[in-house]
Amino acid sequence: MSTISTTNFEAGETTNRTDANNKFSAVATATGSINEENVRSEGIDRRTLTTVANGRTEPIVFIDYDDRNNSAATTHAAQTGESSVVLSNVALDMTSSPVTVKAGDLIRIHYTAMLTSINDGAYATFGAAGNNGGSRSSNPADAIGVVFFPTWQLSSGGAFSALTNEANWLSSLTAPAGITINNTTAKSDSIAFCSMEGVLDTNCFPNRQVHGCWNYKHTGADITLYQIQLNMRGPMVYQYTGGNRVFYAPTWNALRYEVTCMDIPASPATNFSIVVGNAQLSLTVMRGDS
Amino acid sequence: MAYTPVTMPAGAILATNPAGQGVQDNLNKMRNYVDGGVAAADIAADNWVQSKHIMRGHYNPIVNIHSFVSGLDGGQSSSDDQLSFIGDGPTARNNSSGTPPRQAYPNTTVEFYLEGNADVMFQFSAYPHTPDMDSFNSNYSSRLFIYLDETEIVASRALTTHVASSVTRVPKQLAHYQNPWSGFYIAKNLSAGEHSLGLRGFTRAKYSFLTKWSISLEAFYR
Repeated sequence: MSTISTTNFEAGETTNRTDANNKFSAVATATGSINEENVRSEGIDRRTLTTVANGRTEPIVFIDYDDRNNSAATTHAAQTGESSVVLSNVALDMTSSPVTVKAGDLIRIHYTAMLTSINDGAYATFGAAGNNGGSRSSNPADAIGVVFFPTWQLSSGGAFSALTNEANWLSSLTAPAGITINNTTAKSDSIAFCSMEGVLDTNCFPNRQVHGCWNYKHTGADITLYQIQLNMRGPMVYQYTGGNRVFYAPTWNALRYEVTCMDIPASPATNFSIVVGNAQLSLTVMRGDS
Repeated sequence: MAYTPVTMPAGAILATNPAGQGVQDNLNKMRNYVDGGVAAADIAADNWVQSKHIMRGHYNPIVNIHSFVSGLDGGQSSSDDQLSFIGDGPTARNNSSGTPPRQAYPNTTVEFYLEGNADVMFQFSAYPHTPDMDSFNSNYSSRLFIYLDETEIVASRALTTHVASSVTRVPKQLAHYQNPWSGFYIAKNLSAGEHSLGLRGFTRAKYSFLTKWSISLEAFYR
């Protein structure tokens, strides 16, 4: 307790040395353990807090950032959406000092990625450009795009896994198949869906940067973060299948996407080569009232 | 260090004495302690402070920044018809080669003062418009970068292009699109003092303007 408690000198009383010493001792005792009982309302300012040893003045538990410039662009060949790839040179590695996330903590992951080009110069969501064949006229555009998403490593040297309550965007599919999403335990909050239309030439140049983020208040037992990485998969088609919302990996250039229909990708390919340019990734963990 | 009184010796209680053992000597010690002598070791290990004890923030409506004991929060967003605009003249006119000079998109920079080293997060969104050019050229684009002080954050690069419709390519093959821009940057352990974070860019079209934009700043003192 740091409240000062002393015996008063009364009127007419003769002061003595012992009582005076006791009063000073009482102050010394109280100031030796300052607590919420004698800190004045709004009495703590930044100058006060600079004396706090080994502690920050805000609720940041961890903050880190990494990026790669366009000079580190990567080409990902033979992409169909059936599997994912890791974007190199943009990752957060906390292995040497893992971050413990407690119940009530807020996890904030931000990232950007630049979809530079795809090797389908005639790409369009409603079919290959320049071909106005009757069989593909009036085709409605499909929601086709590349999916960027972060994943984390929760044990040292372990496998990367999906974020809490997010769909497993790392899962491998055999086309035609999809990843079903919902609003509970298979969410798509963390992804950035990047459409692929762009300036059309020998290749198609979307040059499109997307900014994704995931803000999650952790509940339950502590988790420990060792690494965060940024992934990409696609193209995928967002569609309604069997009563579910699905990010679908179709068989490209077949069925709806065959040459007599949408012709995606323009023949004769059945996959895409995707170039991803500059990218950024950050993690911030803010302590709650745990 | 903690306030440490000196026991007054037996005998007459003097205001002061050569050994600093008097009433006034102890009162002086107490005054000095209260007036700035509080040390970290004096603070209870747990529950020594609650939110109500922290000095409230100060809001500066001119720059829309709230200064707190723990850091800063601020930002700007465009009001109706408040465009931010750069031209091709000093930036990338005639699709010149090399590295075009950057220009600041007006009103998209936040200037701030850090009282101590801090981790700073900057976010923005913008809807750029780069008008048509009269030929087909994918280089008629506008680009944007976040700038921390005078340093370009190269990885924050964003780009948009608008291609004319009056060219020889069939309409289906043309991209009538504008990329909305959104991005962020985190500056770790930014030093105390004055800083700026903002948006700069160049355009190879005639001009580029932001029809809607917003920026935000979060600074967390270390």
